[in-house]
Amino acid sequence: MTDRQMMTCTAVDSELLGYLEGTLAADARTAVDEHVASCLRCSSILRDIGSIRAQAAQLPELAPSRDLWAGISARIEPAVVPLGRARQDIRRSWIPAATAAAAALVIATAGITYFATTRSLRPMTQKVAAAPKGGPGAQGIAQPSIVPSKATAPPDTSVSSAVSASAAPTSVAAAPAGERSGGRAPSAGVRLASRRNEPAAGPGEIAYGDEIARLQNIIKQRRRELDPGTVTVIEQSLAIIDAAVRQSRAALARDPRSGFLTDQLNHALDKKIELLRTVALLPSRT
Amino acid sequence: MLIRTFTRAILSAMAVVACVSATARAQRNYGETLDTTVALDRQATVDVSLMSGRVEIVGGGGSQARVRATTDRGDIQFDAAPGRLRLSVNPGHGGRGDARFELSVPAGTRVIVNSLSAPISIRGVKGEVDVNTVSGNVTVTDAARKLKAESVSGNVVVSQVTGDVTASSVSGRVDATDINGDLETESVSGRISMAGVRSRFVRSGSVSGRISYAGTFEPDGTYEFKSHSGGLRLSLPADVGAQVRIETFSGSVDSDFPVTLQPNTDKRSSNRRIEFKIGNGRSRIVAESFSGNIKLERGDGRDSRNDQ
Repeated sequence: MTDRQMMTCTAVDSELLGYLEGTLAADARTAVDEHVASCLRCSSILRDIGSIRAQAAQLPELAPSRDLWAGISARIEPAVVPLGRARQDIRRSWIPAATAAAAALVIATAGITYFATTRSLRPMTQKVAAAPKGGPGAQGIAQPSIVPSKATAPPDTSVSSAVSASAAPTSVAAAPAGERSGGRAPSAGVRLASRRNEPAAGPGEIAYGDEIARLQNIIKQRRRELDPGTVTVIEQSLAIIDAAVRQSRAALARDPRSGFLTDQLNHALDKKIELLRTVALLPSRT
Repeated sequence: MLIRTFTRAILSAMAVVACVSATARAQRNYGETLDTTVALDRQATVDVSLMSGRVEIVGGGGSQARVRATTDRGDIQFDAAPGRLRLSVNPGHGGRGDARFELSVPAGTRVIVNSLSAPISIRGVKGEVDVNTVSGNVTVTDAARKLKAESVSGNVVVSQVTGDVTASSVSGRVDATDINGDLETESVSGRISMAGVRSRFVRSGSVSGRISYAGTFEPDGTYEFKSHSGGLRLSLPADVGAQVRIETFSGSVDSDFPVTLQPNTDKRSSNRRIEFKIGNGRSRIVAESFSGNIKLERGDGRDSRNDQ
């Protein structure tokens, strides 16, 4: 009896990583193959891992529904000090300044690392979840809904008919300066602002556009795979949600300071994102 | 001549027999039947997936699982080990036909079911349950630890659960009855009904679906109900102690409990916000709806009329 024939489940477990990575020597690989062919346990494990890898590869890129960075940056950024005073205090205040500089360096390093990491992962995810730039890509089951600033769209504008995916940058550009000064581009496809307690802040400027467009693009590609009855239910549900979004936006336009209405709008948009994500992950009817 | 004719006849007969045999074999492979019993650890995982048909899983005593499965088309895939049982239909071999899966499993088994359109019934497993379906109805009774049940257009009905529950449907009805644990329910247009709930945390949200709740309000518990146009009906025990916040834009508010209105702090706000305390005010209740009517009624925590 050869060593290969004597391979046990434990031995297979120890070789599993190399086997899956394709780094195992030919003899060892053959031994694993022979064992797996006759072992229910190991074949199940391999099938499970294969299934998980295949399903994981199909998952769309998910963006957080809330962008908390604006609030965080507002808290951690040092207060702006008039230049003249800063010059007077520079000798006494070199320690806080050095601390702030060190903090800024850490933040910048973390930002560059994050940027580099994100870029390195981007090619794989973009293929699945690239946001359409208007035109055909924007025509999924329903048009993306974006909450525009007051300057970009009237409050009673139909969400599904008036706003296209290409409107996202407009919404981004129209965001208040305070939102954009956080050091992180607000065009990351997530909410640009959230409900604020300060009365001066007005209603939150919210942009779900990129994420909605990405999800709708996935759904558009998958539409033929889905059961027509299910597609009908989804379209009806999206219409209900879009109506809720329109009503909330119209009310918010009349009462821009209302936290309740902002929450209602967020709730409706969250529902839309949730539904689109559900649809994007639905099993194929075939 | 006679021998030649006889030989031809024999060969022809053999050919016919071979054809009939092959056809019969092909028909046998078209659909499959499985009926078997396997040993299963307590708290093992049973993982079932199918496109359409029917799934019934019943919990019972002992340490064995009985599996009965039939398919109209397609191969049954069945793997069993003491810690895991897997049952599915191979979609690569004409697996689009209906399948009927009937399983009895030991109490405490963790059950996972994924389906496209099959109605799913799970009773008495007294273990964790995770069910996902697109258009099938889901019924789960007597689960424990954790229950998650989701459908797109099917109804989701869960009852007698000791553990945390998440139940949602997009357009189907969501019923949660006799729940002892955290409870989250969601829908877009489907009605949500919760009754007999004993929980310290309840969150329920819909867009146009009505929401009704009847259950206890534990001290320090949090209870949040939110809809856009669906009505909210909360049945509160007479001895409830809660801090209540009700807010609506254009819906009506009706309360069986005395409400002391407080002036709205923001005069420019167009929506109606009411905050008041009942009893010791220890639990926190939030009910918000954009245009749905909100009703607080005295009840026994068991039932709530959902006839708005």
